[in-house]
Amino acid sequence: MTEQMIQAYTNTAAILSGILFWAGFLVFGFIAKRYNTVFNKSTFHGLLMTAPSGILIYSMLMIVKFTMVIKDPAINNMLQLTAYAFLLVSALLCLFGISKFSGLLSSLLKYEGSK
Amino acid sequence: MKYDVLLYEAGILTLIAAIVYMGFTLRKLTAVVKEKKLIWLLPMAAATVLAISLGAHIYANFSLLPELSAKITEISSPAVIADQAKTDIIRASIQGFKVSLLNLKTVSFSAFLLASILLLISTSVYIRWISK
Amino acid sequence: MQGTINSISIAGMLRLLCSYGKTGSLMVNSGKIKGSIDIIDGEVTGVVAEKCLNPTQNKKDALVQLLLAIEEGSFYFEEKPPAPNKPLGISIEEVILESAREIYEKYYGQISVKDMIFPENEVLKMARLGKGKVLTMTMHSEEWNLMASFNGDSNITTALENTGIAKEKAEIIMYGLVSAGFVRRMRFKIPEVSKIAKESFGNIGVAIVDNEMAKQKIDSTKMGMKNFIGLLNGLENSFAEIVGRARAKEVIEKIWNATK
Repeated sequence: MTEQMIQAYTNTAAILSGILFWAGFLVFGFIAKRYNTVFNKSTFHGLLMTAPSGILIYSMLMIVKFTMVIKDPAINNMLQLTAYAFLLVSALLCLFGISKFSGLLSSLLKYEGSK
Repeated sequence: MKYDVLLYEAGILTLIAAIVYMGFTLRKLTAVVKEKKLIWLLPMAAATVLAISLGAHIYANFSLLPELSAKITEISSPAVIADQAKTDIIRASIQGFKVSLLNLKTVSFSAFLLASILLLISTSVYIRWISK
Repeated sequence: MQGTINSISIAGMLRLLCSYGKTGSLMVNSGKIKGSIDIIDGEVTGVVAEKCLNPTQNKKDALVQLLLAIEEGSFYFEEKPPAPNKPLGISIEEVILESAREIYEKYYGQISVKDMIFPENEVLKMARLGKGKVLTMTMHSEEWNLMASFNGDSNITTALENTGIAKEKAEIIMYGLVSAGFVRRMRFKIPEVSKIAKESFGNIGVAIVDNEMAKQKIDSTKMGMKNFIGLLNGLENSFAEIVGRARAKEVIEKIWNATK
């Protein structure tokens, strides 16, 4: 495999995995939304469904970085830094959303009845 | 200090934590629907694979890249430029580092891709269970 | 035909014999109360109270006394034509209600009807009168109002509470109404929904039930059939969201089967 082919593969993998992570969290958000519908309690499903967008933005910025011919290394670095920042913020929000939903689930699993 | 690298690694580390938490949550959810299948292990596997990817990234950025920089600095020194044999050895060494870095990059992104696939499978299987 | 008093009340048996137009003698013996009731073609023609709580010469009052054999004893019906006397013109339904009145007016706390009444989660409804049946009798307001509260929707607990009559007294009146055939049991009873949900989904099942009840503003102790049907619909949707439509249907089926 040539260096260009490996480069093309890693670029595609980065972008595809970003999209798949986003989809995985989105589906999890849909599960949380069902609990919200039934129990009318905050499951942070909105956050769970929107937070992974950061991962998608990360992928998009990486596409821009890899495909656009940006000559200026400073702009390239800025683009990469922004992509990483989106990844971090997105992951933090996902973690927060999941922990909240998990907390609600735990309380429901320990529920003994209203009387 | 490479802030962008640290930012990326912090992002992946947080993502690993989120996925592990998701695995435990999925375990509770599986108990609710009384399914015996261990789909909650898929996010755990995804987290492990991501951790490997992170390890590769750390190794590349904090071990291989500094060594590669040192070699590049070395090859540009007047003493090495004057010595053709030394130049050839260092050039070969630099090429070796480049191959290693490329391999690590491939492993890292493959792991990233595999982790995302595992995560999507786990949540998709669960939502299929509760949509029948 | 024979039986023990704790399986069916004397009052209930007498009403059945009369409504089926039977001929024979119903012998009652509970130790303290002993006697016989002659029936010809479903009409009471003679009453003998050998032993009773309040001896009387009046045939109707004697019959009321015999119907007070509630807590223990036995009876049997001898299908042999009794002495061919004329019907006494006693309304069985009235006598039964009168015997219930006797319990709460004179023997309150001494005679218990607990074993003769339906469980509190049962739903009762006013019964229809048979074709051609003529009924002439006296009813007190409390009796009428309690009868009216059995609307085929509320369970016994709710119906008794709605009348505002003291529970113990209301239970005795209900015993009279049921024995007289004025109210009948519905085909359905309200099952223990939370228990079934817990068996199926664990604690989260109970949480879903409580949540649905709160959403529909249903008090589990006063749930009527209309509420119950609404609750089942809501539960099916909620269960489907959490565990899927197929599993939800299974559990709803289970709850529905428990109503029968």
